[in-house]
Amino acid sequence: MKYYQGFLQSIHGMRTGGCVWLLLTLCYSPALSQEPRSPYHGINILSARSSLSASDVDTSVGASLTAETAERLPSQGPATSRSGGIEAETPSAETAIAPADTIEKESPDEEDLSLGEMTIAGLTLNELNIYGYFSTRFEKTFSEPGVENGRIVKSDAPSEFIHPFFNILLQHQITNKFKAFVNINGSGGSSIDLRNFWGEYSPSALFNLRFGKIYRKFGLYNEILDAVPTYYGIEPPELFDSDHLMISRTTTLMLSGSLSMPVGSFNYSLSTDNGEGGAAKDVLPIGYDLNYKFGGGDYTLGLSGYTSGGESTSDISLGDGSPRSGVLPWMAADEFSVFGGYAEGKIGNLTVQSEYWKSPHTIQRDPASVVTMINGAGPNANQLSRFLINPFAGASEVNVRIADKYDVKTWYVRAGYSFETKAGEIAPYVQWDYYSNPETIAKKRFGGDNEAGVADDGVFTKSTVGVVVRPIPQVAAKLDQSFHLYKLNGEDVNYWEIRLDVSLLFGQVF
Amino acid sequence: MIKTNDTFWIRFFLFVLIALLWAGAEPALAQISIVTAKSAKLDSNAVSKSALKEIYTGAKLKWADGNKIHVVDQADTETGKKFYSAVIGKSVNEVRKQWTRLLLSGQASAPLKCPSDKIVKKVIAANPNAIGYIDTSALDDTVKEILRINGDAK
Repeated sequence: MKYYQGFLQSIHGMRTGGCVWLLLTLCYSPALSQEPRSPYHGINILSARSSLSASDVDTSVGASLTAETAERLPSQGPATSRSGGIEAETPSAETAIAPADTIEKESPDEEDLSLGEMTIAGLTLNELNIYGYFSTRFEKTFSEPGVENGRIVKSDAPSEFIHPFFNILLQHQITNKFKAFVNINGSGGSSIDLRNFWGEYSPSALFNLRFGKIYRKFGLYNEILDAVPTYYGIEPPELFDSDHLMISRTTTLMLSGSLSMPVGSFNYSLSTDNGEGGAAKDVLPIGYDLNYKFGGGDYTLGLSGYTSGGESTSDISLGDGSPRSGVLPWMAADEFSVFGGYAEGKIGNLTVQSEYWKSPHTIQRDPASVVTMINGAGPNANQLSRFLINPFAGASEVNVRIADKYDVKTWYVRAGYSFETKAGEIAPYVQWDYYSNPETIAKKRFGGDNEAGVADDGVFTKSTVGVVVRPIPQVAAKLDQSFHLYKLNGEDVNYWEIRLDVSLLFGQVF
Repeated sequence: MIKTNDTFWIRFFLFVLIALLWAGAEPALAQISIVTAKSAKLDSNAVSKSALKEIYTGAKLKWADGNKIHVVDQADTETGKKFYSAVIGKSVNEVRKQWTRLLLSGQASAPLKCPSDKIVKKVIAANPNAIGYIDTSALDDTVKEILRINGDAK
């Protein structure tokens, strides 16, 4: 039976060619001893030789972890790392079957490697990984609409080089259950910002306690917003665009965990902190995230939320720029929440993502701040009619509409496809973003944003096409073009902008 | 005296005999063994193929007891290519991108990249929280096999 099944196998698939070849050879070759190998035999032989040779060459590939140094590697001992991380010259199939003397000539002497030079990131305890990246960006906006004497006029903005990111990251696996992480950011190439510093204790996969300044788990992007080289797109989704954040990115105390299921896993997080404007009496903000990953992590469905837990204030004073939270600076009190869902699917080299978020606000405007804002920022007619009881009566504290409600909404769809070529990875992508915030204004200095705040109704959409080119895994060059559409002065207007972002990863990256 | 026609039939029957022997032999499918240290608490088949994909793509970072999973990789070897094809279903670069994303957000440190089965075994044997894969032909008593997969399977 076994022979019969095997024979059936042999007449299907790859063996068929071999059988036919063998039949022809045996029947018609002048000498039986001159049996040629089938091409399919060749594959088997090649793989056998490759694996054999790979074992052979492990003592001669100097840049890799070697048998001898692995023996010296303590399971619980200290370790340092080699510049360039764990990336190392490893034998390809061709290299592996090359004569050993050739390989030895190309590789440094194994004895030259000490433990201090070994690349053992991710393996040993007491490891301190240092890595990071920097990026330089070019932006230019074309035909941006404005209103002059009641008419729409368009003008190009000057082109601009900026340095949005310089991140140095330190990760220390103190023990198998304790870890520390620090993320130092050099924004604009001029100021240093401590984006993250936290410690984590993991008594089990289900309970991990993180404390410090932490990017909260919220949607698909918040935790990875400083990982620009790795995702599609240059700009973050509007939810976490620094011009109009719906909530603060960071929290102080976060409990998270993962529960493995027969198919996939559930992941959760709960977080709390002082709140958007700092500590307030009887206010306990709560952030949460729940997602289900399946298909080996290729598919994610999740929901995230946040409640201010009472009346909160802005984290920034009026006139000091856009808030780093969801509360605008002219509010005396703002009780709000954010809720939404997200989904991601990775099908082969195609990635598709989508998120939807809604943030209802119940607000008490501060009359003095509103008057200052109106006089300094010059809101449009729609915005004035929201802020003032009688928009034609001029800005005065008694004319300010104090109690109000409004919703901020945003959603997006992103898709990208990765092509691997001899020149590296080329990954085209498209994005569609929608954002609506009726309360915001245009002037960033007064806490507004110059996208939704410019629009009559606080609504804009943005469509983007772009491409990521990665000649080597450590370099990502992104070029994209966005079209913004919104209403201005009662008319549908649009403008477009191009961006080029080049980032370089360094240190112990994979 | 063997005639030409007889020679043909002798060769034909010889072919059938060889073909049957060849077909009856164990199929030469590349098999990959998922291994941990002998001291690891995981039992055989404790890690499914799907969970393995989660581990190697960074979707699962901790064992049930909270210990960090030390992922040992050999993506650039022949064994690695078969493993990525059979288990991960993505290119190595795509997976590296996912790990870099985790690195830059502090969620994980990178897998250890090894150049051969032999090194993987050395590393695995020394760390009870590590997991790796080797060609089944390289399996020995220095490590514990917890799962065997067909390296040619998609």
